[in-house]
Amino acid sequence: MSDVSGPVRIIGIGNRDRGDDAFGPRVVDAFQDRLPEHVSALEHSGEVAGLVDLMTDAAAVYLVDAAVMGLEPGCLRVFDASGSPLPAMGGAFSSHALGLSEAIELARALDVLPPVCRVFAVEAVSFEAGEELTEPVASAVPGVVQAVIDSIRQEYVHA
Amino acid sequence: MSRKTIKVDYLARVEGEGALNVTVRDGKVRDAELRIFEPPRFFEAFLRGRDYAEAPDVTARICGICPVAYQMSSVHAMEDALGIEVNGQLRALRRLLYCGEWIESHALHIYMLHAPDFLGYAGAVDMARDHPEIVKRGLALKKAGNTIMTVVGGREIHPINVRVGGFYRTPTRKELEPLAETLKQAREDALATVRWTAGLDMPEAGRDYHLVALHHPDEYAMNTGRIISSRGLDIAVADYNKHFVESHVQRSTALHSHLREHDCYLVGPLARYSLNHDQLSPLAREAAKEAGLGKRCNNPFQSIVVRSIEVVYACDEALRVIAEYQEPDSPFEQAEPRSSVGFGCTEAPRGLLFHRYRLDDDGSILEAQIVPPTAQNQPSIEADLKELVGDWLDLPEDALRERCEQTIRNYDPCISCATHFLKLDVRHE
Repeated sequence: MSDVSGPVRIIGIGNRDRGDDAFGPRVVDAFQDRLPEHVSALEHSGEVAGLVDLMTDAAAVYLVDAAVMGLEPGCLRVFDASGSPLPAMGGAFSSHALGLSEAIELARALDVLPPVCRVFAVEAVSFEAGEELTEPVASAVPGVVQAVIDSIRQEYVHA
Repeated sequence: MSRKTIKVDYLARVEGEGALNVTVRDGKVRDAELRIFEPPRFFEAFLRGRDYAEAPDVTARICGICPVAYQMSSVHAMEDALGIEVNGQLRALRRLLYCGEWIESHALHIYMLHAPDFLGYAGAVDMARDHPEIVKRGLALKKAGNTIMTVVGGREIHPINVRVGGFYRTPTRKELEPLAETLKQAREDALATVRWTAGLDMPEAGRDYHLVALHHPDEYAMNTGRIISSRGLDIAVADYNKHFVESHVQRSTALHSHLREHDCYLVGPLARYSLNHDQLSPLAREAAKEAGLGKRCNNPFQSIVVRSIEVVYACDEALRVIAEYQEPDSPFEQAEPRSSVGFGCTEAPRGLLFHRYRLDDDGSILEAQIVPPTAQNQPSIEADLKELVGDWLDLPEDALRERCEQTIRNYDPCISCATHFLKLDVRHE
């Protein structure tokens, strides 16, 4: 359990117009009006400079993303990236050279990675433009919201 | 006969997927083929049957790094087709938005993708461990560009505020004022970037490029002008297809572009700088002079310096637009659909981006043609490798492979835009 000495950020990464890539933003939607003052939930495109900036002054970041990990559709994996890099996996942002893994490692190299950095990755089915979340990924939203809340409660006195 | 093969299966730090084969026989480079195998993305086909007003938002999805370029070329083409012209503060706001994209795109390439080549790092993360303050400066610059895109374009990636005829909503003076403070610091960071890149160990190289860029009589061209070249071409945008031809080659899912009479040509920062140097701001020209650049630059490795100079210019120009900004009476000029053909050509961070649309009388799109800069530069990339690699054959294998990759990264290629990339296979025969 840690003392909070900076903002706690839940960051839903993704694009609402690209199928299961909307998972992170949809989790952010589900947090509205449910968070204590020092915790915020933000939607983010995954752009590397912006992500590093959001990590720089935070006490903790909880990053929610859709990914391709070879699991069952909608299956959640939680990674503790505070001490070690994410395992190699096909993320939703691999198309533009620098993705979530690189943002985390860049923040670590620059010594601005928060002491708590958790990644909640859900196995995606489709990133088709213009499509909705697939059913198994949409069904995973409530469980991931609860998993993030549980994680914050376990790690912070005031959450 | 000596024969050698060097193979790289995946080129990092470029946008998209592809490969490169270089064949060396008897100490001479016999062939260099850039193979692009990323699947075609069929955006031109997606556009057929859509309403003309959808083109800026659909084409913006082609690229997460240069969406403004796609929006700008498409709206100019549509406005050309519909017979309207966007002037005054609306035109200036578009220029401000484009400055934002040049700053964020160039900063990404200079610091995250290209600089590691010059300093011997595998990537930006490794470079950041040894040079954290430099990388932080790059991130701050990129953020400044993104901030412009958010304020003027509605969001930092795939902006949503551009429409045919102008914008959906124009910013207030008060909304632009905080940008000026951000940009003053960004301009200082950009000047530091020029000094830093000018000091990098630069390979001696150069070719007699046929440079092609947009030229405007009154400004460093971004959105409008005529297409000119270093060998006398001077044409209206509407005449693009009379002089440039696209062809399919088996090794690439991106069409190759050629000038009908002069074969391959170069678009992008080196072309813009060399053809339009005198129209840079005094501060950008001074920075170029201090960096040791003349009025023309033929060394593709120095593109990192030229991009830095363009970032200085973009900060200067953005500050000028903000200082002179007056809120327009209307956010857009009204357009009426008609049966017509329109052409648009703007300067994306990577170079000339041409769009052509044919519209039906109800404004639906009958034909769309999009020619991205990376597709146009493919033959020039191959020509660089054919002409330059020969001087480096004494390098150790790994260093030669790295130099070949760096030669490609000089172009900041966006394979995803072009198809749209990279494996490298150098064969010494």
